[in-house]
Amino acid sequence: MLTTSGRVTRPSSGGLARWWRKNATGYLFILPHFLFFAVFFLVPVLGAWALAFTEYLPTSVRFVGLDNFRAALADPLFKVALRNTAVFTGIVVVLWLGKALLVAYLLDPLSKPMQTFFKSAFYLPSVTSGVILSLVWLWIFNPSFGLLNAAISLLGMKPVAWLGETSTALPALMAMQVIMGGGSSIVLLSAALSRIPRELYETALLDGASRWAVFRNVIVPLIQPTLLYLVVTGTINTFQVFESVYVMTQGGPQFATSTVVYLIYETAFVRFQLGLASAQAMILFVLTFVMAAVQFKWLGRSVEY
Amino acid sequence: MKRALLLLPALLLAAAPAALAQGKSDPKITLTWWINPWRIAPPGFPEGKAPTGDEFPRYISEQFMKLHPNVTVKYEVVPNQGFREKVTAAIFAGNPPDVIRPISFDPTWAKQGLLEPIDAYLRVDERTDFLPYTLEEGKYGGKYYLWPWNNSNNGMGSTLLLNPAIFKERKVALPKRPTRDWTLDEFLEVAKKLTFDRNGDGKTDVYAITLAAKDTENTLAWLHRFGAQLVNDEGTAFVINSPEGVRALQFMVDLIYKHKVAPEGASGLGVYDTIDNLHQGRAAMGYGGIYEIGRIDRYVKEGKLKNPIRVEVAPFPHDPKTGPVSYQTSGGFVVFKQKDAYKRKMAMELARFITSPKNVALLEDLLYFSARRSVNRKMDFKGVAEYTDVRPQVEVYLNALKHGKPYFGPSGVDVQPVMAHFTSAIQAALSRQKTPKAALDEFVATANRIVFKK
Repeated sequence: MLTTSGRVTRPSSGGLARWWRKNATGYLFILPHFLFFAVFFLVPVLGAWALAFTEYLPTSVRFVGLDNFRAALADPLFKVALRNTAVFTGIVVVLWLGKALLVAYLLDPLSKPMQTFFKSAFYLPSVTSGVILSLVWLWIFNPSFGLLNAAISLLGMKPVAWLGETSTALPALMAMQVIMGGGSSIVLLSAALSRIPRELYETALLDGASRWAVFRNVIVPLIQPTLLYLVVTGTINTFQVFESVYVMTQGGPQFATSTVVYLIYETAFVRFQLGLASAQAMILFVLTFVMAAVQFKWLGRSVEY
Repeated sequence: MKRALLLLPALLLAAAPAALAQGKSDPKITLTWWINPWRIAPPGFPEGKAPTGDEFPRYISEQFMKLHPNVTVKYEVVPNQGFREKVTAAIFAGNPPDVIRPISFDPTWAKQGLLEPIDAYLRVDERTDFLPYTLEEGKYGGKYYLWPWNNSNNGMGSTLLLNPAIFKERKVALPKRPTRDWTLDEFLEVAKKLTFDRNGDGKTDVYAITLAAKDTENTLAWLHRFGAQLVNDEGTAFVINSPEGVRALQFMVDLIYKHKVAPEGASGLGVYDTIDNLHQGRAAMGYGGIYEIGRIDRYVKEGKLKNPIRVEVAPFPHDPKTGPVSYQTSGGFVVFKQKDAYKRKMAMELARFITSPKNVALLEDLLYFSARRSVNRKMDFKGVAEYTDVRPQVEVYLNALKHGKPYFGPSGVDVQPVMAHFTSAIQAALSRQKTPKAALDEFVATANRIVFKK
C-alpha cells in the first residue's frame, strides 16, 4: 500500500486480498528481474558460501568446517593480495573521483554540444573491452620499446621496467585505471552539477566568495549524494580488479600486483581448490560489505537527499 | 560403364546387411572433443591459404564419422587464452568433453580419477611405435593416460633461432653445421658482437637476445645449462637452488647487467616479447624451433609482419662439463572418465584415430614432429622447401632434441601450483632485488612446502 511518503506498507491481515489486487501489477513487473537476480546472483552467492565450508573435488565433496577460512587467513599470499587490493582501491578511487569531479566541473559551463562531445570522449574507454585496453597499455609500458619510455627518453631519463619492478608495477596499473576510468562518473557528476540552480553560484560570487569557496561550500555539499554513490560503487568495483592484472602482470613481479580476485582465480582454476577459493571470495565479500557500510555511515551522515 | 552400373546395386545389397548389422548392434552416440587452435591444413586444403585451426578438427571428425556412422563427433576449438579455466569449469560442472588435447598433461586429473587409463587399449605395435618418452609424459601411478601426438613443443626451451642477416651485418659466423653446437663462452663472445648501436645515437638498438622472467620454458632452458634441475629425478623435492642452478641464474643476470647483451626489464617480459624482438630485428637471437619458420611465414601472409626474416635453428649453448641439454616434451589426447562402456571404447577409438600414423603425419604441415617413429622417418617438410632450406635445420633441431630432458620433473609431479612462485623468484633475481641464491632458496622452500608438504 502506498503512503503519502511513497513507501509501500504492510497490509492489515484483513486487507491482504485488497492489497494484492492493488499492488499485483507492480510486483509482476519486477518479478522477471527478481527471478533473474535470484537465479544468477543470489543462488550462486549462497552456493559459494556453502562451498567455502567444503573440500570440493570433481569427484567428491567433504565438509571441512572453517578450515578453508583458517587456511586463507594464514596464507601469506592472501595477506599480500589483501594489502595490494586495499592500496589499489584507496588510491584509485580517490584519484578517479578527483579526476571525474574536475572534468565534470570544467565541462559544466560549456555549451550542450561541447559537453556531449567531451562526455562521449571520456565515456569511450568504459565501453571498450578491458582486455583490449590492457593489451594497449602493455605496449605503452613495454620497457624496451614502449611509448612511455620513448617519451621519457626525450627528457633524457633512463628507461623504466614499469611492469617489471616491484616499486612501479602497482602504481603503473593504478595510473592506467585512473586515466582510462571514470567515464560514467563524469556523466553522473555532470548530471548532478547541472541540477544545481545557477542562482546559488551567482549569489555566492556576488557576496564575494572565491571560486574555490563556492566549489567547496556550495557545489560539493549539493552533489554529495552522487559522490557517496560513486565512492561506494567505485570501492566495490575497484576491490574486484582482475582483468588488467590477469592480462598485464599475472600478479607479478614478485606478487607486487597480486590482488584478491586474481588470487581467487588462481586458487580455483590453476590450483583446483574451489573450497579455498570460495572462502577467499567470502572474506572479500565481508570486507567489501563492511567497507560499504562504513562509507554509508561516515559519508552519508551529512547527505541531504 | 554398364558393368559399373550393374555392379552398384549388387554392392549396395552386399553392404546393406553389414550396415544393418552395425546399426543394430552399435548404439547411436555422440562424442565431444576439444583442442586448442592447431593450424594444420588437412588434405585438399587450398594452397596459399592459411588454415585457421578449425580445419583440422573438422576433417578428423568427418573422417571418423565416415568410419563409424553411428557416432556423431562434435569438436570445439578452444582458444589458448583461458583454455585451462574453461576445462576446469567443465570438469567441476560434471560435463567435460569426452576427448581433449590438454595444453599440457595435468597429473591432478589422473590423481582425482577424472581420466580413463589407456593401457588396455594400447596395442603392442602402437607401444613400440610411440617414442617412449611421449608415453611417459602421460604416466601417473603406473598407468598411461595420454595418446601421444606431437613430439616436442614449438621448440621453446629446446632451441634458439638466429637471425643470419644480423650475424652477417656484424661479420659474425654462425655456429657450424651439422649440429651448430656451441659453448657458453663461444655464445658470449658472439653475443657481445651482436649487441650494437645501429644508428649511432649512443643507445643500443639491437641486443643479442631477450631474457623474459615470465617465459618459463626458456628460463628453465638457461637454468639447465649448468646441469640444474627443477625437481629431482625421484620426484620428491624441488632442487633448483643447487650450486648449478645458482650459477646458471647468475649467468642470466650477468647477460643483462655485466655483459649488457640482453635488455633490462626482463622481469616484466614474457615469451611473446622475446619473439617480437626477434621478428622486429631488435634482437639477433630468439627462441623456438622449426615451427617458428612456419609462424613467420604465416605472420607475413596475415600482414602481422612486414618484412619476413630468415632464421636459422641452433641449440642453446652448453657448458662443456654438462653437455648439450634441451627441453623434452610431448602432447596428446586424454579420455575423460566414461560411464558407458561402449562410449568409452569409441572415445578411445577417436583418440587412437587422431594419433594414427596417417593423421599424425599431418603435423608435418605445421613443421612439427610426431610422437611416432614410423611417421618421423618419412617427414621431408617439402611444404616449406621454397621458403627455406629446411632439411639441414631439421637435422639441427632433431639433434638438439636428442639431448632432451623433462624440465618440469617426472610427469607425476604437479608443479603448476608453484610456478607463479618460480616466476617471482626469477623476477627478483633478474631485477637484482635478490641474489640468485636467495631467490632460488626462497622458491624451493615455498615450493617444497606447497607441493611436497615439507
